[in-house]
Amino acid sequence: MDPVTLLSPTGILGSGFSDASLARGREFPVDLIACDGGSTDPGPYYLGSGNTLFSEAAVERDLDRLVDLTLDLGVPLVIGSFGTAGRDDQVEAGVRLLDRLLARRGETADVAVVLCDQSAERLKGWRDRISRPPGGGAASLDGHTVAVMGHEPINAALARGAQIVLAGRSSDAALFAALPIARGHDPAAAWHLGKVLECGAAAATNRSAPDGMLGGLDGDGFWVEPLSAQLSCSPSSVATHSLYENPDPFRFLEPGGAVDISEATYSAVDERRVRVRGSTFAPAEEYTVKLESARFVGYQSVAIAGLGDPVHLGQIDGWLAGGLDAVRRRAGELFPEQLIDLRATVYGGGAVQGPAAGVAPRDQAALVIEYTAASQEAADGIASVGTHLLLHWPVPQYQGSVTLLALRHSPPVLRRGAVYEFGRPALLRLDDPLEPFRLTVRTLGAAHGR
Amino acid sequence: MADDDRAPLLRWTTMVRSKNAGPFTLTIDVVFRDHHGWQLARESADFRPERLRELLGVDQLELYWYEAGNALKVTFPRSTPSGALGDHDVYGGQGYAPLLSIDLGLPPGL
Repeated sequence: MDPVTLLSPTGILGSGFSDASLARGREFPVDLIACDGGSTDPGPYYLGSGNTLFSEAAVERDLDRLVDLTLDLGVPLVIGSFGTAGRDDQVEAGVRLLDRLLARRGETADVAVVLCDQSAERLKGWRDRISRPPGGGAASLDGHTVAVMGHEPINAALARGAQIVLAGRSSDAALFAALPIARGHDPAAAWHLGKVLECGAAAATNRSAPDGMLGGLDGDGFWVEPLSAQLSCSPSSVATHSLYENPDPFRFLEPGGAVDISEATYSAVDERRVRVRGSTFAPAEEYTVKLESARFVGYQSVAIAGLGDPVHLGQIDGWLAGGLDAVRRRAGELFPEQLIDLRATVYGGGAVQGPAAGVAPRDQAALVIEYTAASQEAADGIASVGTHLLLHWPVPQYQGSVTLLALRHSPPVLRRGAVYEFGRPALLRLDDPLEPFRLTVRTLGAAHGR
Repeated sequence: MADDDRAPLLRWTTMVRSKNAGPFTLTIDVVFRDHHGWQLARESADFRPERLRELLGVDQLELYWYEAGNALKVTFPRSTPSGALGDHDVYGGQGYAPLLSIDLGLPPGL
């Protein structure tokens, strides 16, 4: 079996990497370049709205360099979860960007596009095949829904001879595991390698900024090595990276089965390269893909204020309860039935709310007030009048008009726009791993009629 | 050793971190400096599930002891899904903070 070498330029497209590191990739016999363009990490907004986490400028900066590399080396480039959530419209925006980048070079390339949006109608038809993962509540797929692809659609795209694969929502590890599995390598080693590579240089001992990682399979487990000559991997850095973002340190689930890394061993090949052996793969009884969805909640406006008065801070919970009740009444008067949610969080000041639980009290605190309503107009309106109410809401120790909030901004209210929430994830049982995904191959670039 | 006083767990560890494991689950990793520290934690009452539930304010959690990595992992459902109304930590990055107060004493040589 021929060895396979995979290059991961960075943990997420648009987060950046060093040019010197990427250049080092040219010194290796690389078979494939892969990278993900998002995940659920940044929250439900991107799947709900179709907007992207990083600017097009940031994505273009990275993609431009990867297009150079894929064309120069003549090996495929695979990018999954394009545009943060991997929605169809985010992937199509990537297609337009790629078209532009190729045309600018006077080049053409065959680009496989794999789409994964799932319509309400399709989901209804699959009702009997959708189950909740263990521990989940009710499956709610009433928002924008995508299916998370395994390695099979990636391999189908590569088998069509595509130079570049732009995929919707994907298992991050599958982007890397696909090619070695297609070439007959041990799926356990391929998946485990994918799990390490999908985070770029995160498994290095001394990473500061986002950067890349190389990895390969040669019939004896797999090896990894940071792209940057300044970075190194150690057995413990790779072993502990296997803990990262996984609920279970010994096993992780992929569409076709579970990868068991409990018996894996990690050994130093040299001061920068680590070899991993002993992972195993147990195929699942049923092939499943995850369905991810994000549902519209409302429109939000936010006010931020400092709190510096110990008298006020000492009674902040009671003060907020009274003040927020007054805001609700005012909202009902001005924008009847419009207020969806009103909440305030105190950071610091000995508050026990939010992430500050258990952290030592300080003399200053921050107050974040979130107003969520059925329209942006109502959210802005309630937020401006509500924040004004709270600004002067009294405490009994002071007579006359008081101003208890150190408002951070003028105007005091930040418009957050539409907000979303994730639906409980669900699993879709499949006989054919390709069924929910739509693959087309398009020739993009110069000859494309410009 | 002012930092140690506020975060005594760090005397024994090379890394303490948390992160979402999907939008509905939070997972905390603690990596000890050596096997001795890991063993001490394993035998300590502070790292029993009931104490961790109390410290983290959660009803249920899974505790994993990963000996090969001198590490442990605590995984539990998020009280609010990532990014939903009322969530205060979209990436789950600060969920480890309560664990820093666990005091396993002074390591040899300190």
